[in-house]
Amino acid sequence: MLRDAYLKGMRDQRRSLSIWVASIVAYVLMMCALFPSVRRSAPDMEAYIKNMPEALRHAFMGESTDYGSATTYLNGELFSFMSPLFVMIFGIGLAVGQIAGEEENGTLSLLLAYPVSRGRLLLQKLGVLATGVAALCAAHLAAVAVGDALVGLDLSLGRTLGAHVSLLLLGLSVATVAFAVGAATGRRGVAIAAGAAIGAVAYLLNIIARMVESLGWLRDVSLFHYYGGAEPLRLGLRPAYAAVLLAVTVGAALVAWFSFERRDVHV
Amino acid sequence: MALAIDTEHLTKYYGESRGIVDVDLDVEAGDVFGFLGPNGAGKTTTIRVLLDLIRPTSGSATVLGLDARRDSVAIRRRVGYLPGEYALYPRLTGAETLRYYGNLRGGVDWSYVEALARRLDFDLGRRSGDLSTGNKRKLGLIQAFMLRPELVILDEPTSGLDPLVQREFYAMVDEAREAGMTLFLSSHVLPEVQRVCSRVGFVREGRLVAVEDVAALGAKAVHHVEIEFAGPAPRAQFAALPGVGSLTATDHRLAFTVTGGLDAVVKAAARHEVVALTSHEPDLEDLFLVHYGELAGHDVEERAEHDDGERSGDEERERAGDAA
Repeated sequence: MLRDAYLKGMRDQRRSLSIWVASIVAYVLMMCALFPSVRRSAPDMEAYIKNMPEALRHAFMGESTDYGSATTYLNGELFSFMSPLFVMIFGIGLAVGQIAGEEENGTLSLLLAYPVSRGRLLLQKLGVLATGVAALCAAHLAAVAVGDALVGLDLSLGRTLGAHVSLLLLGLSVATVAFAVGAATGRRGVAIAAGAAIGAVAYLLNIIARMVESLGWLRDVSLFHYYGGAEPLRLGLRPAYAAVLLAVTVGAALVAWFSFERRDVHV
Repeated sequence: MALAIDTEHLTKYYGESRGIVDVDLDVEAGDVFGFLGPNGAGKTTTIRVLLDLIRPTSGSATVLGLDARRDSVAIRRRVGYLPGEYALYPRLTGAETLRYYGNLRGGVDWSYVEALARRLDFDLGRRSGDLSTGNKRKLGLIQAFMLRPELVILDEPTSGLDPLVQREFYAMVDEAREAGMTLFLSSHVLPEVQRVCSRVGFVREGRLVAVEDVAALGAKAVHHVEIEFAGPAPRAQFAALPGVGSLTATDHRLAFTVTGGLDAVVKAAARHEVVALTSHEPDLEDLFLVHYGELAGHDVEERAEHDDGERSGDEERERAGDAA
């Protein structure tokens, strides 16, 4: 496990990753377990939701009208907010520990005195980030599958997979931005702030764009919109949207490489 | 002989603030080169450029004949490095840390690591987070030497080491020299450099002000001497001796500085009844003031005006080094 920076990075996050996986699995299973009782009260819910202002309903629930379905329920309880929040927080935390974390801790100078090029180190560290975020999303998917088997959610396999790929890409894009800021500045605090800001702004822009018609264009600059907004599970994977998230991820990785290659490493 | 380190007009500014200016450094293969100067003089900056951790503002550097910037990975395959300041991975044990670093260079001869650890009395099984400062330095030294590099670059290697370990380190340096390795070490303690180095470069305010053979340095050393006589102090006799300066006298006591050897002073003192004689180690500041006054004099005054706080820190550390 200490053969290179990638394996060392995976070893370092064993404990943290297992805690995150256990938490997200527990949360998803709990939400799945609550579904049967929620479904029984669906007609009441429907009456309540129909009385909400339309703009608000669209903002937080998308265009679903089928309130008794598991798809709408899980979009509301998991995919519209909690799951992306989990994945983004985990991703940002992992991302800023890679370059900025080593630099602030003081281990980077010695590491870079060994024959590892900066580009290669960056790639291995990105690998750690991608593996971690993917593992968390895979755990989420596994928990949804188990929930389906236990309470019968009747989900579409394709859209469920698609929603999880979207979740992965959203997490990766936000985390890679944080990673890039960390690689460019060497400062963990700045990187966390950048990642959190991107995530929060993406979420809020998407909400505002749906609530205020004249600001509808705002969603085009929100990563959350490309993730599927409030209803990824209904929309599934849309290749063009996924490509935007992927492009942001790759772009951020290139920025990380370009700036880290050129700058001085702090003592 | 081939040059292990060769810099030309190497200059580094951190924004407006000066790192090093126009450093032309030649270190021959097989040398043990001491890079001597007070803290903040630019020693660490120079070293970090050699390892491509920072990029020069202008000028160039080659290490082992390779370009420090372009061929850095190839250089780092052949160089051992001990940073002046560094942290270790707190959750890894010493053994795990060294395995990791060894793997980054394609594996390490573990029996040699164990030999080094025994030698420095270092416990490989303890987690780095639990190590004292001295033990962290030992781990740093082991990693710098363990891959038997052609060139070892050590930034303030003895700071934080206790005297016994320091002596062991000096022995390691001597053996490395005999094995044909090149060593480049920075220090702010003159006696240490005189003890282990064959050549010394004096760096001050970012500039390399002089490079000397250590053998020639003894002749230039400045000693502070105090002699207490049983009878009246023979002031005039000592004032006339070659190399004696700054003489002050009380009834039975003389205090003065001697440049060069102490032979004449000792022989003159032998003609009187001497109660006590003390001679202090030559001091880096004195050496600068006496021999490089013209080169460095301006900077010295400037430092005294602006850097009082930092300077007193340096002096404390120097005293600690002397005591050790």
